Amino acid sequence: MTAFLNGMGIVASTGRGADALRSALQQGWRPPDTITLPDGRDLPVYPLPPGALDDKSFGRKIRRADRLAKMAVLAAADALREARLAPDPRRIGLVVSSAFGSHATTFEFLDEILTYGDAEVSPTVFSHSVQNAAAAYVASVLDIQGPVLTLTQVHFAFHHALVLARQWLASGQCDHVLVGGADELGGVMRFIWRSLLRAPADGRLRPFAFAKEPAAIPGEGSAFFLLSAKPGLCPCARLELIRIASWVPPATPPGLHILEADGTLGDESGYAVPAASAARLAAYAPVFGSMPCGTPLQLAAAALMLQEQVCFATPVAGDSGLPLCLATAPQPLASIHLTRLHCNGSAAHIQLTQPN
Amino acid sequence: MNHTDFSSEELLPKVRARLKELLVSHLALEDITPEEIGDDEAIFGEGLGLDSLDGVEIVVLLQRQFGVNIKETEKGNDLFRSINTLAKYIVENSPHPLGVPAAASEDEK
Amino acid sequence: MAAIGISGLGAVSSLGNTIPETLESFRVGRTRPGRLTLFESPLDLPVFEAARFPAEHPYSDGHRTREMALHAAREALADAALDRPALDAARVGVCLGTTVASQLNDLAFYRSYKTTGTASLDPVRRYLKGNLAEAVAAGLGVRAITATVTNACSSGADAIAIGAQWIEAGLCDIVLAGGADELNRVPMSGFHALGLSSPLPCRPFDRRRSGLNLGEGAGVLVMESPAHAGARRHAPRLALCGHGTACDAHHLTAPHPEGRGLRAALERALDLAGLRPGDIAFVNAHGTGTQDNDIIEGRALAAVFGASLPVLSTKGFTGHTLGAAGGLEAVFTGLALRERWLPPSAGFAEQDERIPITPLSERTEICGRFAISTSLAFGGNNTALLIGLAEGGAP
Repeated sequence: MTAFLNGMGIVASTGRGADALRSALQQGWRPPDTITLPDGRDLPVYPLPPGALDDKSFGRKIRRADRLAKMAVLAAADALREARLAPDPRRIGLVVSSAFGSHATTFEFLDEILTYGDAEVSPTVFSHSVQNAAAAYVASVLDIQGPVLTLTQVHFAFHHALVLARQWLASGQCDHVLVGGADELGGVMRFIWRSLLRAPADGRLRPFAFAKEPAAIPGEGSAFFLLSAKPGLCPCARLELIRIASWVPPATPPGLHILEADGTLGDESGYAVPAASAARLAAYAPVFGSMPCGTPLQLAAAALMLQEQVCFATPVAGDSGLPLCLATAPQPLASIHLTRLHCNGSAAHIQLTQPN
Repeated sequence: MNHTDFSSEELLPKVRARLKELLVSHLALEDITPEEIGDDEAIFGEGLGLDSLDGVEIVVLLQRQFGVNIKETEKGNDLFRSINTLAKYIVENSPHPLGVPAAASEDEK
Repeated sequence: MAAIGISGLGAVSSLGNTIPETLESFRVGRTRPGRLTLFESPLDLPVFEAARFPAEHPYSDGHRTREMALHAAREALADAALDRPALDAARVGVCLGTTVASQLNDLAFYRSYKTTGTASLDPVRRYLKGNLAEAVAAGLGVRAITATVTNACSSGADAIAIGAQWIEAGLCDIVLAGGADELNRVPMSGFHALGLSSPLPCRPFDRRRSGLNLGEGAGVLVMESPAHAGARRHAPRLALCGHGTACDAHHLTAPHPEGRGLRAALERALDLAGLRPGDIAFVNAHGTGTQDNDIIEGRALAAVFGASLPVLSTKGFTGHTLGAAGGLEAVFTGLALRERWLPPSAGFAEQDERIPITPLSERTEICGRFAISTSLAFGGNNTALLIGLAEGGAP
């Protein structure tokens, strides 16, 4: 069944909201920030801009929320507000996906154990370290009384969230589902990235190099969508397809094919296969940074392009000879396809089409 | 000066002030200043409006900042009713009613 | 909803490593928690270790969870008479809930990083390769759709509901679903800090209850589409007939005072199954032994089913196994329907006048073919699984 993206919200290194996203996509590649780790090594990152999570409109409701939960609340609230619908709380569900979940607060809790001992740790830190804390905040702030679920895994967490959201709509259990993802870049995670992955010397991710050992620059952020059984007042897009399977070319070549190559997969040479059958290609990880669960951010870019019938230039092109979207320009786009690969050879696909 | 230089009556306002500062900072009460918290204002429900999670966090706060361990049996008592009742408990039971000296705190992380 | 066959059951817990051991433990009333032996902890709290499950030393976070899950999955597949060729020929899904195995919570790693600014990345590599559902699929040598559910204490039940929906959506023919969690310092310390742990053996629903005891284990169901079961002429004796999940939208750690989400979940499960409250033979309740959970759950169950509903909590036998609980308790519910008897609700002796339901205090024969297992989680998630016995499905 198809479902409709009726609203979207995004809080990422691009800033908060669709306008900030549009500006960032128009700007294209920008250099990452550089931070220095406790061991003296540098790490390029794409963090949230300062103040991105400052929002007094929720009052005390998110006073104790950690960064991850705040990102999710802001993005989900924006998605609901943008949809301009007033769903029955019992008929709206929520799925939150994440690659690493509440790792920063988990490490903060381990710190509590080391500092104060197992018997005298902070209950607040513990309760915020559970993987579904962000979802709990979104549900209580936005009064989501339908099914609420958190999926935490490195590969395809958001795709599984979409599958589930669509199933809840198809079964009639929900009229709407807020579905999204969030990942933050905490202190310990920066050390992990620096130790496990190689950063590009010139600060540019190269999605079309299809490298066997690609470079990565970690990003962070959250994007949410209100997925509904019916179109609302101003739907962004129709969710035509969500599939997790071996690579199969789309039945009709989409107006734009976005490859989610971002350096987190390991060997990216497999992306050459979907690239070979595409009519027009782009990859936007160089704008957001590398995120195993970065699909929601890329989907937000896709939804924006579909809504505004614009193709944003792929930020880092290279000399691949592929049919890349090289200049930002108005473009009739009937559909946009996104592909992300797994190291086990499977692929996850999302296809959006125009809502009408 | 050491807390033993003060009488209970002199200690109470100092402890109340310190408690209010700690509640605002440790419970992330961003919408209120310590001075705005009434001495006899209810901590839970109507009043300061803290919840059950704040309640267990306050128990840890008292342990770390004042060295008092609230026993299970005392938790249901009036001791949590207001700043005043908490301050009195601290003055009566804490070895460091002005705060644990040079304690390792979350702020240092 | 068309009932989805439950073709196999597998379980590891303090009750034993297999279904027959589990049944025997229920029969003899093996209910005492013990002292922690798996790792060091300054907290002297009673726990329900899966003592017969071999422990690796040094204790490696997440590994035990994966091993228990794999063990239970293998037992469930054997129970379902599904071998490798059958799995290779089918579209398979693995959906498992957990808390511990989904977290980067290696204390030695963090201690090293904190004190020296660096640490061995081995725990991180294990974590990255250790996604529970993927690890179980890999351990079984099966190509499968995999998802790991991290919904706190309802994860196992939610995973079963998701697995059922994969089958309903035509994505899978066979799904292994449930949950697994090992005992771990993080929740031990955390629940104690929240004032939710009891220093005594837990007493679900009892007037004198003083909190939960943690446990560990894995509970896995094999679910199968009617078409697939029919094609291999297999008639499952049990089925998932309905499920419901709803959020209180209330508070991070406290349930809604009127059990709003639980009631909605129960109604949804009944509605999907086309059944009425009177059709339910018993409920395997979440029943952790905490003040809040038991009173709110007890009232909600009474409101939906009436105060004379046969109810038990099996947490007096297993402890609260967190991500495994929903999976284990679904297995226990199916087992009870199949065997036609329920053990007493371990730990219950004295009625709490504020709780309208009265858990079973002795072994009870079951009348009826349908039962519900409930799971309530931090964040206010409530999930109800409605399991049925096929006509003529009893031994």
